[in-house]
Amino acid sequence: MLSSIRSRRPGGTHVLLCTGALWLAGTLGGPAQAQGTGDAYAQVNAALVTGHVVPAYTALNAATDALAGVTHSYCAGDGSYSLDRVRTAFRDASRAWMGAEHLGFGPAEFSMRNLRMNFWPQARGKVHDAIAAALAPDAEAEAKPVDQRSFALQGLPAMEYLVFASPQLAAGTPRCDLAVAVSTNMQVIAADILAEWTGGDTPYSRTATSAGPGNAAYPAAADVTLDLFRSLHDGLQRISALKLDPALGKNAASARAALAEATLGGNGLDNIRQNLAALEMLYLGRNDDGLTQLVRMNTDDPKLDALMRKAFQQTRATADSVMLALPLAVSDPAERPKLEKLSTQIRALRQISAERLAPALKLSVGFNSLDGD
Amino acid sequence: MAVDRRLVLAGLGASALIGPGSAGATARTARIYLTASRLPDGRYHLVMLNGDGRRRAQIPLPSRGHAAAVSPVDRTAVVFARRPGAYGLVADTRDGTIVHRISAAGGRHFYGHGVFSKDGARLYATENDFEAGRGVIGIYDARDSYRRLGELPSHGVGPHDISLADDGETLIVANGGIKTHPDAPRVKLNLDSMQPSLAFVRRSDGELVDEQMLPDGLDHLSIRHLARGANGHIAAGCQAQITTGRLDPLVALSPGAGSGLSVLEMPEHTLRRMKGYCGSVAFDVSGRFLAATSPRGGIAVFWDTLTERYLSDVRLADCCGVAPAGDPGSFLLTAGNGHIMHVAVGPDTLPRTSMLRMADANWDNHLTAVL
Repeated sequence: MLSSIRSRRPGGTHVLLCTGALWLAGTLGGPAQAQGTGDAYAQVNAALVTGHVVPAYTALNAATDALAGVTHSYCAGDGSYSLDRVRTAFRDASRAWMGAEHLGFGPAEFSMRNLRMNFWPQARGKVHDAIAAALAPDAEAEAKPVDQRSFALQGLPAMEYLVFASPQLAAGTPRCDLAVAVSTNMQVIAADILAEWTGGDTPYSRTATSAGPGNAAYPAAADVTLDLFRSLHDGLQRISALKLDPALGKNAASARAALAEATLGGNGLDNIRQNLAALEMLYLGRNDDGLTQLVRMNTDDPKLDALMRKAFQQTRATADSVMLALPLAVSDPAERPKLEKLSTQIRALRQISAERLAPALKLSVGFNSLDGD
Repeated sequence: MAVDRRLVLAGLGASALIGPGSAGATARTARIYLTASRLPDGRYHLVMLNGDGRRRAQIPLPSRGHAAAVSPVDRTAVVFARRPGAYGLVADTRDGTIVHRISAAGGRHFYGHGVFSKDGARLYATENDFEAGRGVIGIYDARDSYRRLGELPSHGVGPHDISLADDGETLIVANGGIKTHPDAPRVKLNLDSMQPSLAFVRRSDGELVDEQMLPDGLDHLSIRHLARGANGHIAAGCQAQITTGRLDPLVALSPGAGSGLSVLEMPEHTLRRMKGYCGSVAFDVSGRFLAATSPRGGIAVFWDTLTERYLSDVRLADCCGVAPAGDPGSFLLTAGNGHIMHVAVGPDTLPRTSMLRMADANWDNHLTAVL
């Protein structure tokens, strides 16, 4: 067996080849970690795939399709749509993504589609720079399709910038052409994710609902449930670490409104609300058949299900109670305490998920595996 | 600089040699290990363990710790805060006291790991210059209250683990290739343009002596952790930052500067179980056998680096810390659920495991042997 070796010295790059390793024809360990009954996991996985995952990507596909269509018509100057309508279509697409953003496995992860759809928070000014570069006078000569350019140019942050930042998006301009290209790219990403979940010879929905020996991605049904659990846990973490706490700062004086998500379109708080609604849906399932089902079967922690439901309910109510846009609310005397409460509640939900939900689901997740470095 | 002489908890100094009287057991128990941890009260500590897994001392930390660097001359250890960290605490492992606190310099954060020079006079710490988005290596004078003498470039982005080559003059840095900012430390800002590397940096002047990369197509693998064997070989543990749909190798081996980095092969189903994440790597005392852990997979895997042959795996939920035990082919594993396991591997034998402790503690990412 050959493995290539690459060594880049200060003087240049060279590639070496050498003989690689052999291995024993099998490992010596035991079977996969699945605990609890595989049937119960499989039932919940199937319910969530059909009742939560696929509907979320179906909605995303429809919303990005609409955004691309509206943007195309607006930029063609055919008078069918106003800029406000483009902005509304953008908000709809953004909301749809927030309903699926937490699903960090499978087709959304392949080809880095999740990052391309929402490359945020990106390094300072990256979207602005990417758009400026794409619109530079000499850009046309070396233009590459949007899907081959910086991630900052491929999804929601770029589209938000084009639709909301000045100068105002006007039909028949290179800026509008770029908006068409970006929205089309988003449409393609969403369509590809949905197609891979539901179409082709081996739709991922089948992969995720047919765990077992011989299924390379999921040797046990518990492995799928683990991906779903991680989606819940990491989704909560993402809201705290990326969307709320950086903007909130330690106190009103250190609040940094510019670090909120989607400041141009003013969607920051709505994004959090949509994320929380989707995470609650992941827990409950469409018909009370989500992760809750496994928790109710577990007799070791009989109060956990009620606690999870109440925690989601209260956290969402707190998010709904904020009356100002996020960048204003972080330093507003009346609204900031609500955001601080929201931050605490989301942190508590994550902690309950890590310390009680994972054991109740009988999944092997822990101190290092959930939060390593 | 403040000197905190807090003496903590039981058994300090006096009872290092506990355990059965066999020669192997003595070799096993005579060693001391360091690990960051979270104890049941929810607070973070640096814990010193005896070779049999018993707790020897514990030192409170201001926040979650990550890894310890140990001086080769006097058993002084520096534990660094978890990335991006504000502190490095200098502890005397002979009596479990804190003797110094190092604060991160302005515009710099500690990035989790450090290494001493052979004479113990200098401490080198991976740090992040977050405004410039580049990695640096902070230089500290261990003989002058850990005064910061300056810094060297890490010749990459996101340095994490660091080691010292056999020549004593070349620092080896795992540049993870990931740009982060302290405002959102877990956010990776440049996944579309990662360039992880193993950089060999001359400690006298910061010159880049060699730079080794993973094979083409693996730039989405962040090189995070290092181990140096007694024979000078360097193992690199990687973490996949992006799911490609392919099964990517996670551990690579380099004979040293001037050579190259080659991936270590392993069975596909075992690699799949590691879930794209290698948490720690360690050589045994002989430098022949290599261990790598994956807490996400609850698995530790082993190679014979003499033949580059994959040997076997051992299952231990949430295991991440790994360090050489006293005997050739033997390792100590620590897990987030408090378990401590002794493993002995050989070229032609099944791994022999023995669970030493099921402690009421969360052992953090790394375990360091104090030699």
